[in-house]
Amino acid sequence: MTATAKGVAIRVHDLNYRYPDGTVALEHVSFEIMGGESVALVGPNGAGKSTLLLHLNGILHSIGSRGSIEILGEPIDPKKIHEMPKKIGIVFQDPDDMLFMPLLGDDVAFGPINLGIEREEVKRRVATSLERVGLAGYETRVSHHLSGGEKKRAAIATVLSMEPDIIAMDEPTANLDPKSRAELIDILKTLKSEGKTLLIITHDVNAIPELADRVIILHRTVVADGTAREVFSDTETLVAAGLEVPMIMQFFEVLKAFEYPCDVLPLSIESAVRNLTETAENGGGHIHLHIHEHTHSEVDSAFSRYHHHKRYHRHQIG
Amino acid sequence: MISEIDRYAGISSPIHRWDPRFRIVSIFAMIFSVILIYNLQLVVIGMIFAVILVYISKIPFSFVLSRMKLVFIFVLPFFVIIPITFTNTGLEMANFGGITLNYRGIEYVEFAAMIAIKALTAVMLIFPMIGTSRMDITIKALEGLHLPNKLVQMFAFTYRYIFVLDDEFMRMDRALASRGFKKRGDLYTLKTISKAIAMLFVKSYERADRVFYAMRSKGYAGTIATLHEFDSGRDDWVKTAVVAGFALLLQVAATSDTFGTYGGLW
Repeated sequence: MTATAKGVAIRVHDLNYRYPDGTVALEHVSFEIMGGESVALVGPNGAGKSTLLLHLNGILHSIGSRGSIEILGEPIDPKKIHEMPKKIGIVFQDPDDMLFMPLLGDDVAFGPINLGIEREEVKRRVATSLERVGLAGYETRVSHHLSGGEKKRAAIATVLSMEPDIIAMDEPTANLDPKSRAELIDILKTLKSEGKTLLIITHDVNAIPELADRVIILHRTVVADGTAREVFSDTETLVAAGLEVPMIMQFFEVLKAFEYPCDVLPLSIESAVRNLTETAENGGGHIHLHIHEHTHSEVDSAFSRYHHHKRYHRHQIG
Repeated sequence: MISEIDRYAGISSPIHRWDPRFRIVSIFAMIFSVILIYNLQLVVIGMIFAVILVYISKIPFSFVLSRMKLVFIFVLPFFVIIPITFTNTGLEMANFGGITLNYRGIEYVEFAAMIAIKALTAVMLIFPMIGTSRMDITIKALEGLHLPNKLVQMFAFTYRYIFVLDDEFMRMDRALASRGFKKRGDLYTLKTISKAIAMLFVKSYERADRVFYAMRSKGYAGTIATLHEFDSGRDDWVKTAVVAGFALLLQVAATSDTFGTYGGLW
């Protein structure tokens, strides 16, 4: 799908940004994302994630950011911001900010028209983009009548129609019901499989293992950068940044306290199923859990590592 | 909830099927023609024409009249203000310590009636003009008429975000009510409401920022274009000829001797 399967898609080198009131938002931020890579950007509220996103297509720029960002090998020219959407599309957190035209079809056509694409091609792109997010035939819908989940998907369609190589999204799965969330994750997975470069801001740690090959923790600066497993294994950094590890990983840590044999903690339900199957097969069709004197204290210590305040209480297992 | 003027855009009538660009221009001409006339008979004829247009458009009169309530409230005082004034002309009615209240005669009542009918006619014409197609189509028609793009954008954004703002204000209203706030006629109520409105302004400002960023992210460089295509046929021209022609006819009549401008007043 994309011509940039190789090479650096996003290069950020020593990016600094202060808010107009002087507060430091980003400090010495540096990282590289390769073409076709899918990266989750996590960090506590107010860590500068959304601010970073707005820098990637040049909408926010300052003396501190000059020359520090390269997209597809070219530094951002503040005078050519309107050409950036060819390379990188940004999906904002609040879809009401992105759907500003009277009709949904106009919103999806807005980007390609601005890029100077000819009418017939724009029409084709509008139809296919809406279809790809499961909103085929929604061209003449009025966006303020859409549901929250539909709006989120519609916002993605408005970016897909510009056919950028890189798509950056701000909390795509936030505020959605489980079904809408699952639909959205499916869309993101499809984009990933098509070879788009994805940068996804999220607090949804349980979705990260499915969506991202790599996780970057941003807390004004890059605090951690590695595979999902590497980052989730570094619990201390994670908890210090106000984050958590996937529920399934915590659960297997608890199982370990009950002497479940497991060297590599699964990050997703799928790998958990695989892990359980393997263990059961090795154990002749059975899995054995044991309780000892120190089991509870081990569970306790596992919990205190993963949680900020919560303490595990013994009486809860009954 | 904000009532939508385009609530009856979905029905079908000769006015609905009229190319919105032609329709807007023709009825707009009609509105101007009525407003510029200073002759009661001609204004009444204009009003009858407006009523016929509303009838043809199949927009229920109950809907039109309920939306015109505010206009009534606005024009009713003219019937008192214009004929009865404190200027020292006409028939003295009462004296308040040297200031006399005068009744200026039946022709001034007629004049007030003319002003009122003009206002009501102008507002009534808005319904067949923009109430007969969805607002987005109307906005595109304005774009098609080569109205300055900035103006079209202002209309489009007003239409798109007025509902968002309305929702936001409703949420604030509920948040206030859920914490025991009750609207009374006192200063505290006024202060609270004005603070809430101030917050709404701040929120709108911030949203405007974010929307602008989103537009820039999609390559916005100053103008907005859409894909909509209008096609006009012979019928559209005929309807235009009828309505715009009538507007012109009113003006011609106004300059003729039969219906001179309002005698003696202007």
